[in-house]
Amino acid sequence: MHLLHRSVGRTSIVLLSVSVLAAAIGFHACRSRGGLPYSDHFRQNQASEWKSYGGSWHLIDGAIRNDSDDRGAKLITGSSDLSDYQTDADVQLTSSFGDAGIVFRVTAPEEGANAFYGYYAGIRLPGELIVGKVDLGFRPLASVRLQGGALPNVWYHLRARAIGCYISVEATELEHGRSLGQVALPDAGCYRRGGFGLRSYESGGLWRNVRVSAVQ
Amino acid sequence: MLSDRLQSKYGREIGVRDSARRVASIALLVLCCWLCANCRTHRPPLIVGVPQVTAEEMWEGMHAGLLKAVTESHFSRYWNGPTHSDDVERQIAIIDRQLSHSPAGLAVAPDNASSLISIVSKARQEGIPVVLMESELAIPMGAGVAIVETDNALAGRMAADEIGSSLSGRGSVAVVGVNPFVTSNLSRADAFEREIKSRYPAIRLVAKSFSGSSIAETEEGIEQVLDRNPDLNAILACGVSSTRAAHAILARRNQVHEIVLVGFDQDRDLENLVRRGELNAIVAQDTYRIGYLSGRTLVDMRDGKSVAERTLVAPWLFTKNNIDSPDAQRILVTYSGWDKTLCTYCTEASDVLQ
Repeated sequence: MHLLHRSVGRTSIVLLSVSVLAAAIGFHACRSRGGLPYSDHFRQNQASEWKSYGGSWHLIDGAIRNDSDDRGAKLITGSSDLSDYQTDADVQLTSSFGDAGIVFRVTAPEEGANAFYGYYAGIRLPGELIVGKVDLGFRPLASVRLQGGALPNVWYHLRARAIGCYISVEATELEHGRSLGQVALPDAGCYRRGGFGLRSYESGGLWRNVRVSAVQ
Repeated sequence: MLSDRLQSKYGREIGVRDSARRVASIALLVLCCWLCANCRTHRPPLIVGVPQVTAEEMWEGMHAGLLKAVTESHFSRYWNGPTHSDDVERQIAIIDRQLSHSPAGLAVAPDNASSLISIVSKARQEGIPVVLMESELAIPMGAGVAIVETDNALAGRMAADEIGSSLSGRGSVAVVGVNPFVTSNLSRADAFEREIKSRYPAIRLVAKSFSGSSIAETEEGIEQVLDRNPDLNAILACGVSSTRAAHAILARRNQVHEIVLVGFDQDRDLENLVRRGELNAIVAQDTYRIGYLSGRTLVDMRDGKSVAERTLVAPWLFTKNNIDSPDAQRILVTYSGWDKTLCTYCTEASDVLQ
């Protein structure tokens, strides 16, 4: 009888442990995908989930606009536990100078030109795709010239993928989907988690169709 | 009887097991608390750096130097500042917020010699070592506050000698873009005037204009100086924005090659102007070294070591003849090579600076 009780007790402990472990793994998986896939609600005139750090942001015609040419104005959302994901956005520069793009794996954002940890991928006038790692300072990781250059007031599409420590970014012409430039690189000592957002540097900008999805 | 004995035996065992579990639980709890406390204790001490402006070449060089020093000492760093110059309130707000984290040290480049006194005093009262980088405050701050800055007297003399030799010791000069709120700026302008008066008595100082609160105001001041002095031979511009403004105005008036222009401080645009011969010279600051020495000084202060009250860092004069020398590139390249070398995937022609 006693042995039976002990056996039942042991089984219960094992089952309980397995359940706790499974719950922890599930919870972790949920957190790392928290809120994904994400699509913006700019067309519904809503952006309440976003938080601004500098700049002058407002919704206009299904897009969100930063009217200031602040250096490093940011608009951030998403859980800081997100890990491997792809960020897509249409981007338009509204000044004749500077750059605008997307940030990903962002943590500890604050107001300030480079006040966050994470990655930035942007289109810089007159025609460059730049990718950098930001750790309160901007560390350029890659840059390529865009075929045909870039112009203000023209929509471009940016796609950034972060899988493990492998980062890839592509800029495409929106109308025909033609690739204008891409970079792919490993980043040793990468940031592995963080939210996502929009950023411009010495330029105003417009963003729309912001979509973020988990990738394996 | 047997069951009683068993109950008694196992009851004792269960009792012993319960006690053991309780002891184990308490031990585990104590271990967790110790680990948490230990974890907190061993977080690297934080050095806070607050420049006048972030993300400009000159200040990022300082950032790179500070980062090198704190990394060598296994400290961590926070670096942030206003996104545009003259935003003193933002600079104070950043410092105030960081002081609440009780950092191991504060390195600040005051954007206003008077307005920063209170916040630096607060840091000092809280026992936080402070280094004033690049510029001082309007009053001496005493113990607990060290200064690491460019040798501004030498910078002023270098600019005067460059203009003096370019004009062969004769002519007229104007000083533009003097910022009355930044002591380093005033010191350089004063040293320049003294040197001109003592070594080049045949060069007249005909005008002095102050930097405005906007580029437009600074430009207006320079335009007025040129309008009132049609025979002007040389201009000394006291900062990056006033040098850029002076060059732009001279270019509009087709006077780039008529009037000698020398500027203080550096950025990529000014470097290119010197290379093209459209700007005679720049007197550059070794901001990487200022940042590095500031970081080292703070670490030493925290460790209770005695440090120099004031450390002067030599400036550099760059002309078309030496702008591409190894020394010039070490001083002028953004981040002092900190980042350029990391950009393995940058195309050679690209200019990826932020």
